[in-house]
Amino acid sequence: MIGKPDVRCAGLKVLIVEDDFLVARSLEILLAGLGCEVVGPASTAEEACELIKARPVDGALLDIALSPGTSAPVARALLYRDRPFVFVTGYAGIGMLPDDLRGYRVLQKPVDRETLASALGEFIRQPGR
Amino acid sequence: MSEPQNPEAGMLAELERLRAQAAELQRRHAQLQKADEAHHVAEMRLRQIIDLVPHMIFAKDHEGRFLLANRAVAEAYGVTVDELIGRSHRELHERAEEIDRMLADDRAVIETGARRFIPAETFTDRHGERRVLQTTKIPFTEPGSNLPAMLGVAVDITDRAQTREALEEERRRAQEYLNIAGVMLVVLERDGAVSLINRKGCEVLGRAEHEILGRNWFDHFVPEAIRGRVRAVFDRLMAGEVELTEYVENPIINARGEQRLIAWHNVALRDREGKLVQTLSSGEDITDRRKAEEQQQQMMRELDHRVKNNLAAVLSIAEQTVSGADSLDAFAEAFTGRVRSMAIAHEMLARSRWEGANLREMLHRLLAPYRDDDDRRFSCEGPPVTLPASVTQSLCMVIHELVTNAVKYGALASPQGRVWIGWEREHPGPSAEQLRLTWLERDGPPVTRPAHRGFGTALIERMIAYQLHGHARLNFDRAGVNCTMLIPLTSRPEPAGMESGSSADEPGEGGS
Repeated sequence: MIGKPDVRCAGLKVLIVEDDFLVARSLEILLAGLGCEVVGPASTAEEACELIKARPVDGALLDIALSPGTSAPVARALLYRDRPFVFVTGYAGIGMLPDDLRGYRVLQKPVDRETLASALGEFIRQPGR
Repeated sequence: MSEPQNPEAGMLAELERLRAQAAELQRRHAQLQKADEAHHVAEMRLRQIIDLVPHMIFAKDHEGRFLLANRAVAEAYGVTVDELIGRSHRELHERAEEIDRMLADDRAVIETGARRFIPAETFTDRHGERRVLQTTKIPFTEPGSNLPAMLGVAVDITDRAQTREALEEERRRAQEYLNIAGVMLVVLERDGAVSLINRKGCEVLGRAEHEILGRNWFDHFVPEAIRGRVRAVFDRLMAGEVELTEYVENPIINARGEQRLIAWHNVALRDREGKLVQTLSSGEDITDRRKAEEQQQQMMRELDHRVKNNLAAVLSIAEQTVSGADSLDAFAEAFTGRVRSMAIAHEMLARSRWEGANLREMLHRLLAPYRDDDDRRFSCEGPPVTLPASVTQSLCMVIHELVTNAVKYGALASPQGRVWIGWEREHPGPSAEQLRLTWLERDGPPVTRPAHRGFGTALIERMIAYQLHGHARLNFDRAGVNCTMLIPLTSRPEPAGMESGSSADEPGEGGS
């Protein structure tokens, strides 16, 4: 189930923002299996922003709806640092995002290994990184 | 008389006098005859004239006798004009209530000397046909006697009255149709004045019809914020610059100053030349429906959210249970137990429409499979507490892990082992409330710290901190495993300036 590290994303430092403990743990295991280094997971936007300030990250998986709030502030903090991110949502959570944050890639929960690996490879391993 | 001097001369004089007298009388007679003839001619002419008039013309004395009448009156009673003159009106008219009323009006005119106008009165003629008369009565002086009398003219307005009645009826019926309509119906003139509104329209605007009719729609019933724009569209429509928008949603403002959202369907009403003269709009108050739709959508989103989250959680449990299980049986047992604890939380919350769950009941249901016959293994102590939805879901799983661990490795692995669960509510801040819950195992086999921490232990120690922003501490004391949890029952305020809807899992109000 965990499998071999994936060449597309091995070694990436990926922040997880997810308020559900079980889902966060799943993502953690999935990312570790792909060979990524997990930053977090953080269950709140505040906590995530602290982590971004404290540690360099290559990209992030952001659950849109948090309790309380959304991961919009984290997305902004990442944009400010020019770091890529992918939204993850259990439902049509895009509606909760402000207009300027729509149009970014959104993965639907539950996320499988292959989708995650390709999303990370495509979005996070960008030229110049 | 003097002594006659000459009898012959006297007689002659007398004769002459008499002749002159006779001539004078003859002349007078001729004069009178001429005058009489003239009078007769004049009267005949007058008769002819008034007989030509289709309206009833009549004069009556103070006792109600006809002094004068035209053919229209005579015909109404089936007699000649000559037969009518001098007769009492009461004798001629059959209907008591009609004649009483007519004579009362006559008397009033005669007594007050004031003119009287009767816009409509019923009059049943000799054929029994009911007619409607519009009558004017004025004071009149009876020729010869100079006694006060009355003169009247009655116009037959039966057709007019019927037409008006029919029109009135049609209008009433049309208004009835309009009023029955469950939607607002509004007609606006070219200048924006309201010329028709139905009952529903009055209802939605919260005003009486007279407070609406004639008023400018835009000035009085359109919210100020959109008034300019809406009026501009209307003006351009009237100028023929734009086509009428068949469907539009616009708010109105009612008498209480509230805005209501109305779904309008519009039609242009044109005159014969095709010029747009009015607009007819039907409007449905969709304020409540829109609100309900939004609520429903919100509920659907929440449901979708919960289902997907639950699936993701179940998947995660499966993955993590697999990595800790050494056989398929062990996996099946651990996995079904965990999913069952999720199901208990879900069921309790669904029953309360996701308001919350009672802590004691939740414990009772989770511990039920592990009770012994004497029910001495568990004791639960604490005040009534309603757990918010998110707390219910997490705590259910945590308690499940604690009890399965106790059964496998802890106090419940021996028949004498017991578990004490106690809780209390604490108020760490003015509006904050938290639950302090303690799990205490006693009288079990000697406690050994587990060699490695599995998923269950991780769940117990981290889920509450991670998901509920609380705190949990698991201790492997020699006397027995114990776990202390601090769980916020009040929702944390959202950070300021964050645009977002609240999540479905956000804790609701605690307390019971």
